[in-house]
Amino acid sequence: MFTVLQSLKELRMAGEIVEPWDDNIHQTYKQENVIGKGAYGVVYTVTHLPTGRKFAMKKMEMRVSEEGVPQSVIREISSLAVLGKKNHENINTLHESLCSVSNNGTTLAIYMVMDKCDWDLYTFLRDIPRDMPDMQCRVIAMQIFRGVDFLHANNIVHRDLKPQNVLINKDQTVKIADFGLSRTYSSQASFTTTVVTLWYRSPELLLQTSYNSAVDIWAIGCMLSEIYNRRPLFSGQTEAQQLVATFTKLGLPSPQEWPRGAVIERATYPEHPRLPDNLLFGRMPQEGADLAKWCLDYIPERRCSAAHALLTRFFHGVTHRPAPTPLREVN
Amino acid sequence: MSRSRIPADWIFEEDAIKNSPSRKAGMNERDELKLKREAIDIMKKIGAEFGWKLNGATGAACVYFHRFYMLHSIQEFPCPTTSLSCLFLAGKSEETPKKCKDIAQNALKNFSHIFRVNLNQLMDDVMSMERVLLQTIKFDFTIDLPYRYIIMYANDFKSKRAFDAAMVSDIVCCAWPLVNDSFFTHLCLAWEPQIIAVSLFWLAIKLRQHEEINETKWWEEHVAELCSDKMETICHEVLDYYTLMNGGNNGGAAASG
Ligand SMILES: Nc1ncnc2c1ncn2[C@@H]1O[C@H](COP(=O)(O)OP(=O)(O)OP(=O)(O)O)[C@@H](O)[C@H]1O
Ligand SMILES: [Mg+2]
Repeated sequence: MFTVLQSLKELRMAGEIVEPWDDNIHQTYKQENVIGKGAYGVVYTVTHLPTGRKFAMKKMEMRVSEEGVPQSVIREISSLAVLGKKNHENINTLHESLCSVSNNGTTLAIYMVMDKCDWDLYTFLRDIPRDMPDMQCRVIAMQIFRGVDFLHANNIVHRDLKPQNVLINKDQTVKIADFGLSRTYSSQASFTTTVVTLWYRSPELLLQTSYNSAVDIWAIGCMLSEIYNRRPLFSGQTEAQQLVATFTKLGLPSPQEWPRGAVIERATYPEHPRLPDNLLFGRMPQEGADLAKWCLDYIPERRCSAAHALLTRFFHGVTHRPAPTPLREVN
Repeated sequence: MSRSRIPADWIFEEDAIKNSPSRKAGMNERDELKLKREAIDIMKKIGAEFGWKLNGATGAACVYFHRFYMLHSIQEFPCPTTSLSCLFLAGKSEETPKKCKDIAQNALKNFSHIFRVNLNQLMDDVMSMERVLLQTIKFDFTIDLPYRYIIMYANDFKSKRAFDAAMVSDIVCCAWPLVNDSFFTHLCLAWEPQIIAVSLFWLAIKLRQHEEINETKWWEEHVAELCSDKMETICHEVLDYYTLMNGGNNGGAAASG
């Protein structure tokens, strides 16, 4: 009788609770090939069986702690869900989140079902047969700024922007993906600094001082150059190397520019002049180089905001969605 | 687990609410409401002990709870454990986390007649239910509650309409507990929080005898196409609840409490 409170365990033992978590997922989504792997999850192509539509599904596994589903996970997924409802065209839409528990309840798997895109920007830049025309570069860059502007307007710092987390479709729409590591931020808070791929890391992150949304702008600055030149701007293998790579190209920050509270002193590095623009930014047009320089300011507060970037001359007359450029299939 | 379709905004047709999984499994309306109210009461009391607000974690927990039983039956998952898991989850999603142990201990202390298991067992149950809950509410943790709209309308009254501040706060003081008590009803499943807020504000204006304000149809700038009939129906859900509580006494008195 329902009024008698039976514990879940008894019910379960009596076989009166069905827990078809995994079954549910597999009844609804047919899992196909792996399309990507990241530090935290595996991404599959799936078919939504009721509709036949293809999606990308990211599976993340974590241990269930004493306090159940970690608060950080709840925070992240809920901010994702909120963003998803607002539906920005340069943000990869989250359709559904599912979870399942395995290994006797010790492991929690979270599945996020998202729009499937054709490539990530890393693969795209690697596989296109030649440099992209100037306009195509601008259209891609503009959409990255739009997506990031939307995130920042919603108080989300991505923190892990890199070409692998920027998705692109045949029709040249760009979608920012992977908020796995983003956190709702307040500009004062400082978080753990162990997560951003080094090449797109700003000095304040590398030097472990507090940071804010400007770290994303730095990352875009690096990507701007990469979109034109198809090679990373600063590519260090370790944090120390990454700092050196940055300083050799942009010049050693002045004492005023040196991040307050940095774990390493400025005096440890040799003085270095800044490279001229053409060596730094290769085939980028001047307006693009100007914007990249603004994004790569050593002082975070001086870096442009995404909203500002969209107003610069670099994007004047750039139409949002160009007639699809005939592009050789790269997959 | 029943696989009925969930509307994207979690606002259900009256029919769906009347044919909830518990009802379909054979429970009558009275028992369903009674069991749910008992559990809402648990949430309110424990929430209050934690210093949570109804306009915060407790309110979110109540909404999770109502949504949960649109997909599962009470026969399948008893209300009391679900209510604790709702508190547990809402604490985390509203950034006022409480340890599972604290919640379970509190429940055992205050509701020993309902929870007849030991602490470890109860904690286990709350944890298991959390996962069922997560799955059911589809990670939709961010809950919009009517309170912020009440505040908004009150501010509008003071600034745009230059109404007397004391009068406005008197109306708010009447509307607020009405919203508190709306959690005992199915309103949050049937109406958007703005509509609930407008209706209960409208009722509070009536109860406080400022009918002339309602004659201005002040709500029209906030929600489109809301007629007084509809508001009447919404308010009656809450008033009926008082009638039930007071064995037939009038609702206005309870509303001021
Ligand atoms: N929606 C999608 N469509 C197509 N490919 C995708 C999609 N989502 C992810 N991928 C691919 O999977 C890879 C890993 O995904 P994602 O970045 O979300 O995982 P992650 O574990 O958070 O990675 P990391 O934290 O290392 O960035 C991406 O770099 C991309 O190549
Ligand atoms: Mg990634």
